[in-house]
Amino acid sequence: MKKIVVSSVTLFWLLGLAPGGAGAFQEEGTLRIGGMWALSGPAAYIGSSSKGLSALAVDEINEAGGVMVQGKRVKIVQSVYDDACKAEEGLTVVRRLADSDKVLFSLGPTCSSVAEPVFGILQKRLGDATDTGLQFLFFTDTAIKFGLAKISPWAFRNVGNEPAMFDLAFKLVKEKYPELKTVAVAYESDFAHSVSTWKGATEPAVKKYGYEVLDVVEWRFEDTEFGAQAAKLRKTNADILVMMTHTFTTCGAVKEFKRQRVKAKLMVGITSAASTETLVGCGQAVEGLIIPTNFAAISPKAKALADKAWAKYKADSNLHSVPAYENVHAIRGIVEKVGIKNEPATLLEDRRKVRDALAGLGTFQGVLGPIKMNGDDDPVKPRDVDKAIILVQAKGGQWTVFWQPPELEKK
Amino acid sequence: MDYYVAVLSIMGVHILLGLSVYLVAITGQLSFGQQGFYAIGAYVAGVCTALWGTHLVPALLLGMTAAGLIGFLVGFPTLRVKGLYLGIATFGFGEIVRLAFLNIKYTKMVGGKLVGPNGAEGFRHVSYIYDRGFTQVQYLAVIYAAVIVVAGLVHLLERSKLGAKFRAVEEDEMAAAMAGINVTAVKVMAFTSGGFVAGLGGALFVHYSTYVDHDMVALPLAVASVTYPMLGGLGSFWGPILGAAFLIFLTEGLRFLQEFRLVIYGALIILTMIFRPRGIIDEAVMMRIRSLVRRKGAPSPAA
Repeated sequence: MKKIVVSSVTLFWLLGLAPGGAGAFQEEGTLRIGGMWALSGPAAYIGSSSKGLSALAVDEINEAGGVMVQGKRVKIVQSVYDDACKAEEGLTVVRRLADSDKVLFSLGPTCSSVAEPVFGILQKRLGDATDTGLQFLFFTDTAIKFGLAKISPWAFRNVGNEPAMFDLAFKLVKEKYPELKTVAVAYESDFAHSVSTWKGATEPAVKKYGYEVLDVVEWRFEDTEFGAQAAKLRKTNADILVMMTHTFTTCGAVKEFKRQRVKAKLMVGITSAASTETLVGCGQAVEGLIIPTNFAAISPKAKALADKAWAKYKADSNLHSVPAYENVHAIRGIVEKVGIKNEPATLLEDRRKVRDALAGLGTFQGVLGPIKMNGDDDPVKPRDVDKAIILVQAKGGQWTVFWQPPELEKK
Repeated sequence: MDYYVAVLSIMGVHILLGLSVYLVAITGQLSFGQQGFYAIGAYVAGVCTALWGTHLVPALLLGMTAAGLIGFLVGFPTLRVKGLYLGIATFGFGEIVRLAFLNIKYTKMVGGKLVGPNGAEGFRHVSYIYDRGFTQVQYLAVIYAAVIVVAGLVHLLERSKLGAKFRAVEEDEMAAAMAGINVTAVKVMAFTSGGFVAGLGGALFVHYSTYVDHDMVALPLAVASVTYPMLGGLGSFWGPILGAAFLIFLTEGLRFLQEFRLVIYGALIILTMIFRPRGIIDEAVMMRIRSLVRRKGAPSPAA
């Protein structure tokens, strides 16, 4: 038995620690890309969807013949790793993608708390040999905490602009429900995205539109008991419940709210909760919940994508996962345009070319419409995008459109 | 190569964390609060280099000294509790530290960036080693220089009279006191030295990762740090080193299994604990190794 245990452990180590095949690249007709997401733990439902949507984009490109590099069509090969939403694991995964797997760029990470150190070890001063930070390109789809792309010029993001999203959400709620005056707030005190969204996006919007904050309660990302917080919120009798909490705790909390008869006239949720997971996990308890997002299946193209992703990978199409799909397609276009060499020896040069092209990309096509990438010189949101904001509402077990911009309505 | 260096770097700081738990454990105390000292070391050393612009070496020393001094203070109140109660008390200390860093804000603009502990937002831009042109391998050498010094000192401690006193307190506190050992001094010394070592680990980590926040020093880190000496064994300082190496490599080695890896990870730990309940390097193994070394070192009868 001891021998079996020792042999199994050794086998796992060898399997798991072995580097990717170094002989691939142009001569073997492949282009390597990477992805690191939370594929285990409470945030796994977010990471798994991003993984599925990126795989779908890779399939589409490969089925269409691949990417044109140096006059030859090459297939995309994607290396994907689980960072478990843990910073330390992210630090080893990024080195693995950059050094062992030698990918051109990576999607992910899921969690902002992982993006912080992972972007932190990237090079800060482009082209400066004395800066030994990692020269590795990220085109993030999920980590949404405001300002993360400012950390390094190698970090780009196609994520929502939460201050603008919540500003719009409360503006529209104010217009539609002028009789609602007070709010009570819940957020996850240990989760970077939750804290930063409340402090940096929602609280300013709530104050701007003149709502009175009656109470703010908090719990942890992995909590399962919400009795005390529900009791506090019930006493406030607030008109609006602002739930800056992710699906896992939101579902537990709203069920407890129902049990304790916490009666708010409206609920506003965090961007990440605009997923099928929330509808399935929370059921009737989230009926009426309004969330600002960047994706909803409101056009035939978006609906077809959502259906295909679900059918093929059981992946939910939402504001975090659809950008993974968009980013892969955008990078394909850039690679074909800038003419990389796709050789192990030119990897750093290729990454730099793609990085520079991404910084100067301007507008590219997303699933719902055009997306504008801000350049390095943007004073507020360098290397972040501006894109359409939609408000969705949970009704009858599905997400319905509460509001969409006029240009999307025409489609 | 960079990937393996990254794994070894993370392993190095976790070895220090494991050794800090070990130093307390060999006096018969179980601490679930070493991550608190680790956090203190990380934040203090990070403030030194990122905000005050000090050199790395004084920053590391200040980080570990701050953690050691807090360890000295924590050593006294924990004298009144034992066993599980001590575990809860030390975990409480770790949570106090974590919650303190959740609320502490001490920032200023450095080079156009907001730097410093910023409450729940964390502490960003501790980029000393990358700004100064350290390569990954060079910083790995710094980490392992610290590991070798600490492990060497723990080894010397184990072979000294003081080490014997530590073990005596672990075996039977009452008997040790009756034999004239100052139990209070031994226990406080264990917490202080454990604090120093964990603080050094945290100080080294924050410069590697460039970022630390309150969530990185929460319960999972406490559990991991206690697991290292428990799994590796309490018979020698090699135990926590082996335990940390085993678990870090296991985490990496099983990554390809994605969501299933935690199941395998847990099962392998359970199996190890069933077959080696006192850890991989327990007292019996150490005795066997020592007798083997003695036999090899002794002159042969024919000589």
